[in-house]
Amino acid sequence: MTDSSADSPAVVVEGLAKRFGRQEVIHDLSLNIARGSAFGFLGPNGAGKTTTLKLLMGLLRREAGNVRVLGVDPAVDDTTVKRRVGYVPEQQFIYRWMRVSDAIRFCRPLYPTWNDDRCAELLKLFALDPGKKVKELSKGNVVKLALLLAMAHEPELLILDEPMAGLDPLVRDDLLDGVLRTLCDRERTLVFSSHAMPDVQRMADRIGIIDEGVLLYDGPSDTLLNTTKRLRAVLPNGRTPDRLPDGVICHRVSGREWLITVRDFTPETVRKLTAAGGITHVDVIDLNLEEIFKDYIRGRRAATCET
Amino acid sequence: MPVDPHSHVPIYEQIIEHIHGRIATGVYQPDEPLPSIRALALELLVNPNTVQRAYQELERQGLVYMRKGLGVFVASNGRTTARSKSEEAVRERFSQGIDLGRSARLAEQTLRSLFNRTLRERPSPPQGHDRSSSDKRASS
Amino acid sequence: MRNLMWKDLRQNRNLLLAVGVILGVIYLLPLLVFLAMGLLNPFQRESWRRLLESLTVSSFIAVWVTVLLMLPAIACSLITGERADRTSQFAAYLPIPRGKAVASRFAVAILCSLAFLLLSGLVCLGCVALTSSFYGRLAFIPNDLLQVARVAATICLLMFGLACFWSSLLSSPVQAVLAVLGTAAVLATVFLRIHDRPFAAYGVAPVLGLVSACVGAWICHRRLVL
Repeated sequence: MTDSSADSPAVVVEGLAKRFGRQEVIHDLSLNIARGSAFGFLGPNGAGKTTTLKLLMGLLRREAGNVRVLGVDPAVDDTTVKRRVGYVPEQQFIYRWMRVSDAIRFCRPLYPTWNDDRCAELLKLFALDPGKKVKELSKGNVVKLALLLAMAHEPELLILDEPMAGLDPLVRDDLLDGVLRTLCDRERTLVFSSHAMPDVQRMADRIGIIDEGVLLYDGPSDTLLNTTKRLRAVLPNGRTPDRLPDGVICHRVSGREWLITVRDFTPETVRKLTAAGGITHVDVIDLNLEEIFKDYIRGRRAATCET
Repeated sequence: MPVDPHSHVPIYEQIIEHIHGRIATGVYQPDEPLPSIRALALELLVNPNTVQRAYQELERQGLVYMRKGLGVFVASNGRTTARSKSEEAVRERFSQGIDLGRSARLAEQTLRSLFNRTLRERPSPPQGHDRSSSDKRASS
Repeated sequence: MRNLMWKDLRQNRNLLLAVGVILGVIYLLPLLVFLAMGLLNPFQRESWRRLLESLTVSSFIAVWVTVLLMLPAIACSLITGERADRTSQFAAYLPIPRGKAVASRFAVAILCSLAFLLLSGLVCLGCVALTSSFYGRLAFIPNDLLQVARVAATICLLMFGLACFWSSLLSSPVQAVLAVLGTAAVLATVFLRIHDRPFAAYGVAPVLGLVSACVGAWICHRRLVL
């Protein structure tokens, strides 16, 4: 596709807001996802991930802000967006009376870019029986079919909303394989939300952490892993310094031990912490993605409790 | 070559470390091709961008060279470079261990004897075996 | 578009089959009653005449069941059915222009309703003609038939319009059908109470039907997930 939108980022979101009734589920959200990147969207249940992804597809109306998906506003022309994007929702509602082959025949004419070879390849990779009805398929196979229907038209952007939730590890591997095959072949963008941190670490080169509709982190996954550290400081008199160091995500005191999770860690961080006095000793602990994620959420919830 | 998606080490660093090991031990000989990005991404089930980043970093370190359209090959001096890189990595781990010991106020003599004892007690792997078993992280 | 209409038709296959079966039962009922009570003597002209008269009655009942019950059921099921079983969420991710999706549903609803109306109407006419042959003259003068057809068409339009309106708002076909029947009952009472001009309903009802069908279509079109 060589249209004018080819150089623009895959997804641009500015100041997005969404309310359900009086409850604000997305608050001033901004995102910029470059083409060819894989964006992992992390957040606890009800954080606003699904709502954001639905807004990208034009399945909901937004209250405020700008959204451009592949250069197109989904609120203005959702059909164009849907033609160029592959989407797998959290729950599958494919017509249960359709056979696998019916579902393919139904979706095929909707996409100008449908690729029969890709479809056959995925059918084989996922070992789906074209003659079986959707209602006869196992949960894993229904997700596989949904992924096939979302990828056989060679989408420029693939959006997956917790597609792996509740599936066995073998099915997950098949699905990961299928997604990666599609990602490998051309410069395609992947946006997915998940609770499964290992999957996120495998797939994502960028990570966004969201809670209660607010984006807490947005950046490269390597930076997140390499520069988010937990400092374990010993407080001989059990009192924390009056001023917290910069970039604290979350902290808690247990006895004489003070655990501080910081972003943008450098050796300088330790020096600054000890310079204030009152701290005899500092350990630096590496964190994996799950711990980092939990500390971001805990930190935000503690902060909202205090204020 | 498994990657550990639960680890705090980013996957591209894990890939780099693995390939260092394989070049240092001669699994990949000079001027031999490495697996293609697609093949390695599918084998490890990781994002192809991550594999590409790892290969670019390896090229920057001088272990491999890229040929447009042909793939990635081990540099002729790749093995020595990999060895020195491995030495650096070992030094890095040792310094973490030493830091840990110092912060626990252990005497230098104790550190030395601990090092010697560990070296004696670790079974040495058979020739040509992958050396990733010497994982000795300072983290808790 | 053919693709969509095929899907809409197949999605409502069970309902359409059920409508067919119910109409069939209504037609078969007199025959079964005659057989069970031993009233049918194949060699007696009189018993055939009585059977045909009963059949004519049930064919009239079938027409009214179609108009009053089946037509709203078909329309409501086509418009809300996918919302109720949540398959509309699947369709919402597919690049189907909303206008087309709505048009396909309305078209299938209209076509199916017309098919059943035509079927039951023709059966009814056939019965009338056959019964008349026993008397040697038509039981109804054509003018009467035309009047009946006009009333039926008016009510059809009203029922269809109400079905479109309610099913665009509600998310279950059963709720929508009940709402249609409720509204229809209220409207009928209102119309029947206008003593001085009882036929004003013929002018108002079709307009009301058309307007509510259009409003229903517009609400459907506004929905992001149909």
